[in-house]
Amino acid sequence: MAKNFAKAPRKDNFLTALPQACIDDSDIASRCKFNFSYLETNQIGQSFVDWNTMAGNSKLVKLMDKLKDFTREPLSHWTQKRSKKEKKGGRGKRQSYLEIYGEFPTRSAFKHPAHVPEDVLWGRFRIDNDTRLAGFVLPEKYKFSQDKSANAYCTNTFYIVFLDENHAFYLT
Amino acid sequence: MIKKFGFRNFCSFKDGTEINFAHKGHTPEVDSAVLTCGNVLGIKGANGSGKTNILKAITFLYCFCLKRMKTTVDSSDGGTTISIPVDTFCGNEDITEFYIEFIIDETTYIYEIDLKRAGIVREELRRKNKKEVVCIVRQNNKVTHCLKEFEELKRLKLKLDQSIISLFDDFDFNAPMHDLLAIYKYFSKIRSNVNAHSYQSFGAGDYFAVSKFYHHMPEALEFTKCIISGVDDGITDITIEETVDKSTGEARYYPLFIHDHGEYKFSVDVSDESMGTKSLFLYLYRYWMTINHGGLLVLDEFDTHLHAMILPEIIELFTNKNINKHNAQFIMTAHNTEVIDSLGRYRAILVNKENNESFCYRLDEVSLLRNDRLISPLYSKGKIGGTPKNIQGLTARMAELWSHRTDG
Repeated sequence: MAKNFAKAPRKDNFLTALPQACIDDSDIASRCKFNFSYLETNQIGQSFVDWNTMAGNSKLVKLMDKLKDFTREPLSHWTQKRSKKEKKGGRGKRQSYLEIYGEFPTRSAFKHPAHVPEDVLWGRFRIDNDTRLAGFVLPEKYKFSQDKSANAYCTNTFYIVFLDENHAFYLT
Repeated sequence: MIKKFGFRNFCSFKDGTEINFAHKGHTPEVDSAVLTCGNVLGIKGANGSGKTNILKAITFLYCFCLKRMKTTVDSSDGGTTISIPVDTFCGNEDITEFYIEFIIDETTYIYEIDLKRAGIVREELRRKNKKEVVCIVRQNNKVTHCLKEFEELKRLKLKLDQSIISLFDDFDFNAPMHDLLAIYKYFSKIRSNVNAHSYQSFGAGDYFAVSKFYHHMPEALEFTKCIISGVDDGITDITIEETVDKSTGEARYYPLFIHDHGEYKFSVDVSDESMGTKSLFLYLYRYWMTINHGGLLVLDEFDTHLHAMILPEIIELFTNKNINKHNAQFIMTAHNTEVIDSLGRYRAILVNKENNESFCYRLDEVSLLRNDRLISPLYSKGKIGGTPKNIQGLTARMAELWSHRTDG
């Protein structure tokens, strides 16, 4: 059998441990962000403490794991991606992970908080069967634009306003 | 042209290592359009990382196959015994393996050799045109399998320190053995400044020998003058002077470097020239020979005494198809950092050492790098290896140690 020393464990281990990309050729710019600064806990939704009641895999832990997954892709990816059928023994409707409604729902257990700008686009992220993250994104017209202090608006950020474990943000 | 070579259990390389000249899919088209192999490989790494050992490996392989090294030592019984001067990892007694794949006139050859100090254990030569065939297999001192055209080899009891490649030089065979002849000639086209003990330094005698070469080879002198006057524009000419060695009566040659001030010219002896000029004078004939006759130039620390801006021009001697018409190849080590950008990632190899074991990789194996991005900034930041590990803060640490000393 012909000799072949191209594969060398020490070399391969070293190369595997090196960073694989620079910022320029990574997908870091496309990855979406979550912002909690508008979180409202004075309505019927929950707080972090409420979601931290169970030891081990609490809902808060589940949220963090979900956020880690969600932030690997842009928001546009999650509006297209649909959940698995889970409800009713797998016969339930498949929903997109991110649904953007636009206006604040007319039928909702929540109210539009005063500290949230009025012209945002409301929507929700699906965490599991009944649990939702309700919040908003910025309209597309803000893409590539800046505020008066030259801070860039981000249309790839989801601003979380309500932790909604009972699917009460958008009532059908 | 060499496509690739590999070795194991040699000097600081315990595991198998492969050095690859071959182009790959992402090699820029300008370099890969004509040839499947590159003409240049540059090796970088920290002091003591094992850079030179790669050059020693290829030099050893070539020289051993041509039987250009002494392999016998006096034994205790008054006779001689074979002791091939192969440096194994930590001096162990295991087999050292080499292989090389190269092209001669559109035929690809693969040659493998396993050896110990006591002798050759196994050799194999394969040939590949449309399909690959095993030409010769040698076990210890016998050829155990070969094509019909090499049948004569089976009748020989081979010396344990003699490669089948060099047999052509010692025997008159009835069969033409074209392959062995071609390979023998090919292996003889190596010019290297490393030997078994590493870098070969120069003495006064080398200036005489090189001057003699230039005296008999005016084209080579023109080549050298062209480059030296480009590097030092004060030098307008180099003449080779002849004198007679009174002790032997033989002719002796030495150079004079002509400088032009405008109003008058003056000559400078080699001892008063800059180190860069001396270095170029001594080395450029090897470049000229390799470029003119093809083959392989192996230079350890080719950048010594030279300005960083000269190095890309020297590399281009091999990459410029109008100059390098015989597909000569150049493998070298360097400490200069900018040269890594001139080489590009598919022509640069970094050597690292962990736990006293060397390993190396061509930079197109590093995902972080791209053809359109400079390598040196990432290299200097230590992001891609090949840099000294503990150099930062060395002087400060030493100052701390010295601060506890009591003077006097």
